[in-house]
Amino acid sequence: MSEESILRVEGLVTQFSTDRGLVKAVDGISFDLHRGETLGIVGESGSGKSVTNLSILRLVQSPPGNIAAGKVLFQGQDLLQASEEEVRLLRGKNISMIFQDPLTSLNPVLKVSMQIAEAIQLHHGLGRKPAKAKAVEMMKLIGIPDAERRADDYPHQFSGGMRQRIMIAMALSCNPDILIADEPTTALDVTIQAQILELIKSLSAKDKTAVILITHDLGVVAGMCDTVCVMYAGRIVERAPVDELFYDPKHPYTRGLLDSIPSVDLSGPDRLYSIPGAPPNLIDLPDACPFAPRCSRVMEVCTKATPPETVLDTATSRSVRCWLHTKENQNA
Amino acid sequence: MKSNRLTRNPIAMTGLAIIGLYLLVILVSTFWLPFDPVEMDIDHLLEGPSLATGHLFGTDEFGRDILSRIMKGTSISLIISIAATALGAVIGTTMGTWAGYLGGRWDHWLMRVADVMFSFPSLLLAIFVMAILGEKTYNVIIAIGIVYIPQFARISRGAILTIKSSEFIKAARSNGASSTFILRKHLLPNILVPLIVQVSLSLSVAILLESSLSFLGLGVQPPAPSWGNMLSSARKVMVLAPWTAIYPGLAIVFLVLGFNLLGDGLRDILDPRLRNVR
Amino acid sequence: MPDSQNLLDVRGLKVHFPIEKGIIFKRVAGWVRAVDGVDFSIKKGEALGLVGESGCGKSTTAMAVAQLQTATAGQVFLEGRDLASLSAKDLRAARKDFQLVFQDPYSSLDPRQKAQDIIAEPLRIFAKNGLITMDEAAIQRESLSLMDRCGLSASFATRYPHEFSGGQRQRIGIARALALGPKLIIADEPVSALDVSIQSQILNLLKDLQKDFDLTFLFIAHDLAVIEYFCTRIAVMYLGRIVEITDAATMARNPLHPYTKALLSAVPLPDPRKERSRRRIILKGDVPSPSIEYKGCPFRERCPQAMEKCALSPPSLMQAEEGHQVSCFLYGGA
Repeated sequence: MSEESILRVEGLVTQFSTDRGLVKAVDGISFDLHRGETLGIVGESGSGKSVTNLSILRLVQSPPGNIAAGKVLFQGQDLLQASEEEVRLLRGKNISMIFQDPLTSLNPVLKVSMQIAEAIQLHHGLGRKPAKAKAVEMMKLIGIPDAERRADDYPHQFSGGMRQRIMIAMALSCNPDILIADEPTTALDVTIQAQILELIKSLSAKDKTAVILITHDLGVVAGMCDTVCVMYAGRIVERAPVDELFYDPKHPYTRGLLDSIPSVDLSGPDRLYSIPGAPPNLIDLPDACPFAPRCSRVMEVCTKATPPETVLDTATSRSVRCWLHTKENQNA
Repeated sequence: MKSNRLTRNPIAMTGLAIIGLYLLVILVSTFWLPFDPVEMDIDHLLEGPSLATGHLFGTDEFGRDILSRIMKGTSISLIISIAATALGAVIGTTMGTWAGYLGGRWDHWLMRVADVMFSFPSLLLAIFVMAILGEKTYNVIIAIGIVYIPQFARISRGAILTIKSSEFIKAARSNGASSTFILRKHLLPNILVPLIVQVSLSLSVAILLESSLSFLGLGVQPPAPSWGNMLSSARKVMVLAPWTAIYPGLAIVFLVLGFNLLGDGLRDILDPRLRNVR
Repeated sequence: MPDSQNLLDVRGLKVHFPIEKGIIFKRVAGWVRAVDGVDFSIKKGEALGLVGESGCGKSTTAMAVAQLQTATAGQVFLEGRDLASLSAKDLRAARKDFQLVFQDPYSSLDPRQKAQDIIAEPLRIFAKNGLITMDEAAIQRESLSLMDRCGLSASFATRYPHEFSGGQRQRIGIARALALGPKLIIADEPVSALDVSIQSQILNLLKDLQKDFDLTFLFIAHDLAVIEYFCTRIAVMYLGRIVEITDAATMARNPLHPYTKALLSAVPLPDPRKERSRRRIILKGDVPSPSIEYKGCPFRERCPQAMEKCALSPPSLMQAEEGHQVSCFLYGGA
């Protein structure tokens, strides 16, 4: 990537203390995000992909959550060391989020234009009137028909797709540097999903907004992302440019995932591959590869030690965490 | 297994121990009481607690032994509370369960009736029923039972409504299970937790209601002792002889505490989702 | 009318729900036409996929076929017998032949029953109703063997649902559906609540069971890719009606209805190069409310190819080519 990095996450560890023990939801992950880049974070439920992004904005509920280690460098400033006030000012202005469920993310008793205008007023210091005008303008931009009239409607008067558009309008109203989208289309139908993804794509391209897209859907990743991180049991097991990930996956988990999704154009195999077993319990994980019990290419070393991160290509920062690809094994 | 979980739960065990203590008092009082609870003794009016006279909790304004009266009153108060709760729980749950399960018109009208009953404060409703039925001990049971009907109906209906739409109910229906089978096998076991919690709460509130009714002179009639009418008569002499109010009051407080602790503990024990969680 | 080759025939099925208004005295203010005239049949051994977006009526269709939802109009024939015309007793006996698999692996199992009891319940109900003769020992044996067949260890028999993972719970639900040896399995979004790696386990299990037990499937899903993988034939629903029905391969390569085309183009492909090169048909607007009565084609307002006559009367499902029916004026009709 020739573009400068605007967000760098280093060795982030987020834990939750529960009655049964300490859950390492995020266990030492690192990545870089560049201006204008769309980074996909894929993983199954419980892989830590959402917690990662809540940690970036320090939105992890504490207790029980606790960011135990790591750095989150936004334009050189470590957000984990910054004051609560500094982070609060960044949220919405420099880094915005949209969530899976647009209904619970919107305040049901406030008019939608007020909710969009609120962020504009807060971060741009605009007055009520101009802020509302900007809000209506945003609503037009994201394709809400009849925006002037609908500005005074309440969230429940909009459909799911429209509500997600409003969330996007709120998130983008302050021209943030980074947009974090956490499963933005999971609750929506496919035809609406296509609309929303198209919208995120075109708006982010226009302002060179960097996007972190969290999803479980590899199809969405294929169409949206430049770079992909695959998460498993709180770790990034593989990071690669999107084409390399899909056409030359290195980690057995990535390969297994790709082989287990059916494709609508019938290009897939007659029988899907299925990864046996289920993801591990994140309490007291042993010092071993967490994927080892489900892996088809498991070796002795996999159950004895955690594989280190092996950088395969420094130019694209492609890396994998698997004993099959460590330096010693590559040479052998 | 079940008893194991019960004995390992300190909250439930404390509650159970307190209730057990009261049951022991009832058992003892049927065979033996320190004094006759209704016999007056003009030589020992309003005497303070003393080992020498044998009146451990003192005497009241008629010279009657307070400990004996509390002991005798225990069985009266407990019987009323259990019977009233049982009455309210059985009728209310039946109403609520069927209303929730059948839905439609049945649900609509049954719940409107419950709403009307619910709109009266419990004590007022109990007083109203007592005024109609007359001041008899067993009428106290009916009055408190009626107060409880809408409460149980609401709770069981609400619980049924959330479970009714579950897919496992559809699965049972798709196998031709009858409504009674579904009610008995799937719905009732799943609403047991809120019901048991409500029962334990109701038992304690019944004690308070009975005491309030008797305090107002509508409940258990003197000279038969109940904790409520003991407090009622103590009101006039409380400043002079505080023991006349303190001991019946404590009897109420501890029993209510016992029921509440038991209910709390049972909720944790009975929910299989909370099992194996230490 | 019903064809003897068909296990299931659905004719003119309609399910309308009243919209009630008023607090004390309720009155009907309108109707939601959840299912509004659906026809299809399923041959023995086939898997028919019913696909569509939320609110299109696919699940209501499934519930009406399963006789858990009373139809407003139309018939459901299972092996030529009209299920709605059966007496309560005969229907109870007939339920042996069609069983359900549900979407939500959490709400589909009674949290207070042990795994084995959940699987044994259909057998117990049938034995209790005198429809099968099986003693408790035989029921126990049968339920354990079903657990084994669905990939659950016998040591799980006494566990409660919350002790299982989502995939395992779905296996319990499938074992329960198989208990009575049904001919038809109605699977309502059986994998949509599961993670990708678990989803393929369950799909493969269902495929194996279909072969081993000679099952016929009515498979409901919103995910076209899942439907394409699992089903031999596919019906696409929109606003309570089937707009297109054909075999899976034809549907993937040569969809005819503008809605099907848009739906197919909207599904993201797990292939970055194809994703970059493909042209997506982005539909305008949202799915309209099923409580409005349409004079013309219900898809008209979102359709990129809408014509004048689409507003006049609704198209009906017609043969466009051999084994390929579509409900659109682009392919003929008045």
